[in-house]
Amino acid sequence: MRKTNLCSEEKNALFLIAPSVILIMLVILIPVVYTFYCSFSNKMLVFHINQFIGFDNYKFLLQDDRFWHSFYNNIYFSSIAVIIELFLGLGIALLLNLKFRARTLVRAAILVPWIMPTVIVAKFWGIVYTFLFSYINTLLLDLNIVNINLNWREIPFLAMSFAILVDVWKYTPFMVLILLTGLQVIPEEQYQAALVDGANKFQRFINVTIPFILPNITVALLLRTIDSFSSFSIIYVLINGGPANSNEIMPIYLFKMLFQNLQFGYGSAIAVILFICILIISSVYFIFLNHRSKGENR
Amino acid sequence: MNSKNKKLNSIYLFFIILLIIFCVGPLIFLTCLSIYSGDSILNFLQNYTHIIENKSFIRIFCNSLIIAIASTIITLNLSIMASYALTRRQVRFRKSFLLLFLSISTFPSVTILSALYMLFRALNLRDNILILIIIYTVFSLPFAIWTLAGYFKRIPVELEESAKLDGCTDFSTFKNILLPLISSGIAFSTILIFIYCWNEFIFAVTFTTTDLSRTLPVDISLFPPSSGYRMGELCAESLISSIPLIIIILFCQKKILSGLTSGSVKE
Repeated sequence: MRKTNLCSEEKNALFLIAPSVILIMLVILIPVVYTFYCSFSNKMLVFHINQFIGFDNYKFLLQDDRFWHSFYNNIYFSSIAVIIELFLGLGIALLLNLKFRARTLVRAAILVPWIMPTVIVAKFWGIVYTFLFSYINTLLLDLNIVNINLNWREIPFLAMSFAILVDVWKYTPFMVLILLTGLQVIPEEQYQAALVDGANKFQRFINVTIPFILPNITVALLLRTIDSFSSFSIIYVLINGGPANSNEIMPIYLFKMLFQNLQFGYGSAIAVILFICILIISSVYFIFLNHRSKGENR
Repeated sequence: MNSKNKKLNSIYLFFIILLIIFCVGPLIFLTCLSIYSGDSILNFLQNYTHIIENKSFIRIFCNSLIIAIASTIITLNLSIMASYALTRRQVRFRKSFLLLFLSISTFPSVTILSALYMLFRALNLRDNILILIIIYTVFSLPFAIWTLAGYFKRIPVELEESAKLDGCTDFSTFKNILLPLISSGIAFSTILIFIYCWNEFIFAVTFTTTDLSRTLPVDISLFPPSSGYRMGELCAESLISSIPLIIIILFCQKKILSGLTSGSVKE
């Protein structure tokens, strides 16, 4: 009697879960498998070309300079951006953890960059970018250092740095919020105990604060690395991978391959590589988190 | 001690003010640019009237609103159902289910762009807001389920059992006891799902081609690059499309902060 009851209860429960699981299967998991499948074929939608070519896409990928350049750019973009965000975020989180009046107001202000649509952020900083360099140009002309208008937009390094800066502006608040949640649960006694032991400010920070918020740092790093590694909007809207494709990152290259060159097969191969990269990144973090939580249980 | 505190405060105050300027300054600058129209200070609303007179803008704004609201409502219903079943009912593999949802919630959307494009092309859905509603729903589901499951877990089982002893059915227990208890979780996920749907760009730019389904971020991205031509209108439109978000910050910031603090983002 009881067993049948449990069964019907489980059936009901599965009935409640089913819609979500089916939707996720249809829209996320099956497309992933299909993308893998497509990466082994030469597929061009409009021309109705669809033939199986095995590993040819991947062989081509290995020799494709433009791909490797985008790969390198991806690593450069996300590592620099995430590192800056981490240190800046840690500093701001420590600052906001202090007790002062109007603390909630400042925290609300912090939310602004994070909540603003990425497109608007990129467009806005694009305007600032243009203003800034036209101002520098007029300044240089007035000082007679140069006698022509320099085209700053054509310098890849500057464009990339600016994109990183925009990313930092937009996502540091996210870092701050996650680190702040960790800082708030550190018990005051820990600091007092360290104070009694004669630890100075820096030692207290290294030995009390950092170990306590290490899980938060890991989670924040995980989310931000994945997000920035597959980030698209900022670079697409701000510089569109330019000047002259020099600042393409993988998502942008992928997007152009799909909707400008209509190479769905090759595009899928890039998508697979990007997917594998993100899988590796997240598994590294997951292993780290798992390891830590096991160590705590012991 | 007190004087030392005060000294520190002045340095900290400087940094805090700097921080506020950095965060909110761009929004104020954006407002100034949107008011400035070149010829006269008096008709400072010129850019706004230009945009609102444009029929396609109203259409696009409505598209964004419909898509965001529809996907938020669908996601909420589905995720409340699923997270309830996963936490309050005996289900085999519930841990694996939850882990699946957690790992998918960080899924990089760019990677399945090609497959989804072909899928919707095969379904003959083109330039339809339905596509975006489906995609946004599915992509916010894992996050919503994971978050709400965290809130459900915190409710003691005894509460449910005593309600059952008092003669409540499963559904009335759920409606009258569990649902009010997770209301802050529902509010938090509603806000985050809405923000996601309102801001999303990459799917929107892939699946919309005309005003029939275009959303605000795509429309803004289509403005000419760099400053000068139509810059005031760009700023005005950006500001109008930030209004729902500014409202969220003003009225719901406590919900967001407490939601983040209560450990939904943490493991």
